[in-house]
Amino acid sequence: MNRVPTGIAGLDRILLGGFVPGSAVLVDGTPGSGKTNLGLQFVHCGATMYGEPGLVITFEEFSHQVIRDALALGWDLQALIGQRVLRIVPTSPAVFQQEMAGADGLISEMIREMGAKRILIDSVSHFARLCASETERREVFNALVNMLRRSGLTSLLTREVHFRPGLGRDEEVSFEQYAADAALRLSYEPVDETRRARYVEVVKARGQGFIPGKHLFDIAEGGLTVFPNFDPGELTDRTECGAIERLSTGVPGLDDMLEGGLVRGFTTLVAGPAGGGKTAIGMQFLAEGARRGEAGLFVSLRSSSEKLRRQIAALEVELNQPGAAPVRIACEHPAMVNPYRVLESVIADAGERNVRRVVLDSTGEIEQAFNDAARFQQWVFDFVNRLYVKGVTALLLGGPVGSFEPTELASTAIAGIVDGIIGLCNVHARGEIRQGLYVLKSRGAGHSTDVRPYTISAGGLRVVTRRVSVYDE
Amino acid sequence: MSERCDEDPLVGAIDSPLKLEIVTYFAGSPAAIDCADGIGMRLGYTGSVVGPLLEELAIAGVLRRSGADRVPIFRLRDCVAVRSLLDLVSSREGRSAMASRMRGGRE
Repeated sequence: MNRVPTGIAGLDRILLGGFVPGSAVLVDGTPGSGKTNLGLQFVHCGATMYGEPGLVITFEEFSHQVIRDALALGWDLQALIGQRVLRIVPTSPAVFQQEMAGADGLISEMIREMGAKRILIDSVSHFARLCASETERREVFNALVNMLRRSGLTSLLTREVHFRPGLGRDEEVSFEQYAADAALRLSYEPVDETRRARYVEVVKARGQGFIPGKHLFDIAEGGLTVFPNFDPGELTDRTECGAIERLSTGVPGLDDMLEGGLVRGFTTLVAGPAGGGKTAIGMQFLAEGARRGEAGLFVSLRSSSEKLRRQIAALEVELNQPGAAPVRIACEHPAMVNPYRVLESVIADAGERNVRRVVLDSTGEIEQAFNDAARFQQWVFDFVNRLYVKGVTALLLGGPVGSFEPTELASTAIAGIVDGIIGLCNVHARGEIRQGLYVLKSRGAGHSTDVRPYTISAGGLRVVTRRVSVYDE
Repeated sequence: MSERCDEDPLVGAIDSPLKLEIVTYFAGSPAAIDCADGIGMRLGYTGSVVGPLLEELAIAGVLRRSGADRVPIFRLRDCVAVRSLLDLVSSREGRSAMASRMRGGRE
């Protein structure tokens, strides 16, 4: 089906290509949620990427303010105005209505003259000025939507949303949402006392499918980037559905416990206390892959690149040996972590560099970035499934804070989502602390149930292969 | 196609600080189409304050007025002289010279 792409990275994926041509799309949200920026990007991309001239109708801003704010995001609207593919029209709701209603209206004439295909109306909340009652507002809005449909333009109509005491934002359903062909809802929600995160959700979209749910997005130089949640439909894209292929972990003794190694395309949680050897397992896993010709990626959300390289040097794990596939190390400051941006960069690496093995250190920073158990679980679900579709095998380092007892680890929120769980623990036995490793879960495959002792020395972590437990003499 | 009009009468028509403010607004928003109430609200005045001045600017040829049987709507005239006028009011020096002229040439 024909679509009008927004040009916004990620949003078109959520909309399965874009909007139905000629739709009147409501974009509502709280202050600062990004409504105007989304609308401007829609019009800007139309003119620069799709050859579709556009009109910006603003009821509150001056043209030069719109141009200045757009320039801060890297969009030169002045140049587009010069090329006659964009017009910014400051006006009033009543004048807009009057001059758009008839074929000889000034705005109708402007649309015809420039061959406009897209329009942003910022914002329809101002039409309330024309109305004495809710019924009248509804009539005015319906007339506006019908007028826009008749014009053949694909329109974005922003609308302000206010919190009402005792009424959660999600419960607010406006008559505008009923009348519009599609409705997007933007929110700017507190993560904790110092941070906020932006989300976009498609509430409705007549005549087209979309990926449901709240999707995280960013506004930075270049505009909005939306990070779509996993679309279960993507699972059908995976063609490698043959026999299970085992991959060596590169950790002596561990493959034996996993009955041959990790399963290709599966994500395994490696949980354990600080200093337990999680990073060593990750590095050995990547080094082993590189030796076998599989490019790797280590994403650190807690250590700087410099610290990590020292750690690798101390472990004497050779990551980039001559003739081996490359292993890239990517570091991000914990305070700057955007979980979905991290996931997108991993997916991009899988596509562009053919990365086959990924290690992410750690889930703690991802959990902290969300500060919301349900969203963290959703992210892990997305990570596991999107990497599976790409055939990428991954280790998620971290795990729960507190005890690493198997029973506690098994009951964590993400235990059911990941494909495998390897636990590291300290065991107090016979007057000494011993380090033990166990495999708690390996989806669809057998594994050892022992808690086996391990050592960390030059070359990395080594599991004692004989069948003795950490509790033995 | 641009309309033709003379420049001097246009500059001369800007005979008050508020008219200068209105023309400066249109210079920054050349595609604006609005009624007196709308323009007044953006500039922080009422429609009854800016309305008569908009009419005068329309008569002088700076603005176009439409909506004979409805609420009058104002927008910029598209001609070389108006563009020159906009260039003038868009610069600090130009605005300063015009303000000085309004004060009778006193600096």
